[in-house]
Amino acid sequence: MEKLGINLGFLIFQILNFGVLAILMYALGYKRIISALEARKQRIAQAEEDARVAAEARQNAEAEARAVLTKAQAEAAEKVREATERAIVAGREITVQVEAEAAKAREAALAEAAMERERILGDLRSQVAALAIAAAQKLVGEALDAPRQHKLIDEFFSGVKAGKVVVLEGAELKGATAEVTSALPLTDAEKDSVRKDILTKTGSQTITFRVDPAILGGLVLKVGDKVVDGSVAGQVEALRQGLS
Amino acid sequence: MNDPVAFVSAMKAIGAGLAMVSAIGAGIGVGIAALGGVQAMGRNPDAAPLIQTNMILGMAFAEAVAIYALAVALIIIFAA
Amino acid sequence: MSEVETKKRRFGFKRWIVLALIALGVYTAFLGPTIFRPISPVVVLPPEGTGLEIFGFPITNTILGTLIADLVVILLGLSAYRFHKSGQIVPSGVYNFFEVIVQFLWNTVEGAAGNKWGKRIFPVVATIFLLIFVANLSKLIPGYESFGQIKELHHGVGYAPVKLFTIGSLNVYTIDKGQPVEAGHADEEHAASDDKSAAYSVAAYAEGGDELCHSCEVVPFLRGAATDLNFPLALAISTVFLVQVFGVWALGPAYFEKFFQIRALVRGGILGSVNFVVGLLELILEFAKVLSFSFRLFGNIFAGTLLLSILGALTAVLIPVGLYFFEIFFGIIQAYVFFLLATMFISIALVSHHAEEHH
Repeated sequence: MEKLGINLGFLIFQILNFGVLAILMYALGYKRIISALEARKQRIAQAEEDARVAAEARQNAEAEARAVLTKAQAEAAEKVREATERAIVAGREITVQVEAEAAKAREAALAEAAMERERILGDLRSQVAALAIAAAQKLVGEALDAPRQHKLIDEFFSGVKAGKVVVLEGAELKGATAEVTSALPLTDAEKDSVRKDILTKTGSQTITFRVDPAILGGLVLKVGDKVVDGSVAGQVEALRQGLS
Repeated sequence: MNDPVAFVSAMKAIGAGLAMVSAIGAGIGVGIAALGGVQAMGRNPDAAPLIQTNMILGMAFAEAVAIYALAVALIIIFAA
Repeated sequence: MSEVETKKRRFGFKRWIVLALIALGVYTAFLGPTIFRPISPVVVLPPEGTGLEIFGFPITNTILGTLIADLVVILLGLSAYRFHKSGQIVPSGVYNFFEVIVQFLWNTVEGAAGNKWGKRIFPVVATIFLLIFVANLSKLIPGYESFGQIKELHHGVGYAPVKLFTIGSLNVYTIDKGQPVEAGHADEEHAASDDKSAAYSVAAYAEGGDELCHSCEVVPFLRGAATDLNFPLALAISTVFLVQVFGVWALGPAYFEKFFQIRALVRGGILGSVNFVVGLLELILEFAKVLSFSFRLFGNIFAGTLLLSILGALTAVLIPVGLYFFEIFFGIIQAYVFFLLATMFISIALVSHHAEEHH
């Protein structure tokens, strides 16, 4: 043993040295370091936990924010849609109004134009009558007395003889509405007589008067869905067909 | 052969060398322990600390044989 | 451009330093005067005295080494003490290094023995680790095992001393590899001519404070603590003793049932007697533990020192560098193994033997 270097004194010295060192180190450092390490570990765990909670909270907040954002976007879209709709409706209303006004204006203009035409045609009627009489005088060679001539011509143009509508003679017509077409505008007296006659014959309450120079003379009467052609043009056409 | 002291010290040296033959076994044992440990760590890296601890423990036990041999050799050379 | 150049020059500079050191090594080891040449040390197991004595207790060179290791460990502990007293939070400097080690050790101990018992056994095993760690690394400091007293060698080949220089009344010598002296002859010569040279010798001794000799060896002032069997043996005995202490602390008298399995013997049967014998074997194993603990550490470190000095004497250049790394590695590993085994044995002793058996 002595030759291996093992010596009781040295051995005891080393053991004591180790023991003293262990106690000294325990007092100096280990205890504090371990508690510090554990505290740090705990703190780290705590911090991690906190971080996890914070992350969760952030996630929640993000989700919430996203929901709020989505809601706001939906609301905004809704508002935009409503506004657009309202604008469209308003626009449409305005358009309709404008169109109505335009139509009214047009109607007024048309009515005016029709009245104007009727007036001109009315003026024309006397001239045409005069011309026709003059031409007849030339052809016939005799002068007709003026009141008779005018009566004839009036009859020709209005298709009304002795207060009766010619075309209504022998015709069986019934209807609520009647339309009377003449080559030249009828005078108020003629209109009255026509109206009276038609009322009695067909029972039509509403009668409208039209002017169409194309029928040359006479009347075209439309009651309900039936048309009675008493016009000169119609008669000429029928004659032509009969001849051919 | 004429000098008994020299003869004895030569024999001591041979004896110590023979005693250290057991280091072969210890070396093989330590090698096997390291092989198993490294393989296990390769297969399951998560368990590396546990495997390492047990590997070192096993290696220490395997090495103990060589250490006894060393002790014997030292005693033969220096103390006997 | 300039940056690249400076970088290049710096690298070149370092390279030249290394090359110069290698050249210096080659010169001193093989070409230069023989006094520079490295000398293979004399292999001795027992610690050598340094001439110091405290109350008649001789202070050996390994004890000095141990005390230096103690000092370093205590300084580490003081750094921890100072740090925790200052109340800082962020560790820095030496304490940071210390804390990293302690944290590593604590994690291992806590994993093996649990928190409660870990705290109880930690001072023991951590001190074992730190002491061995510091002792193993500090012994690698250059000059640790090369400065010392010149003493007369009793057998083998010694070398003649050469005076280098004098500081005050202290003469500094080295031993010259070029002048080998057979120890026995020197002794005889000395014995034959003692009368004539006595006066001169005494004067020289008084002046130098050294004992001049003919065939000399250097006895270092400092030697690695673990190269002395007393140090690992003391740690091993302490550890195994503390294993029993902690076992009794944890289990009470029931701890000793592990060794004397009287219950198994009473229960009878072949298995019972086998168990009893196994228990006795465990008792023997406790002593084997002391042996393996101490000789593992001693063998590794002593062999490392021997390898380093012998190979250093043979090839003074380059190869010892690799060996130094090897030694650093082994120093740390041995400290860790000693620590780990101590932790394991103690934590195994904490667990009831019977509880395991019944499961």
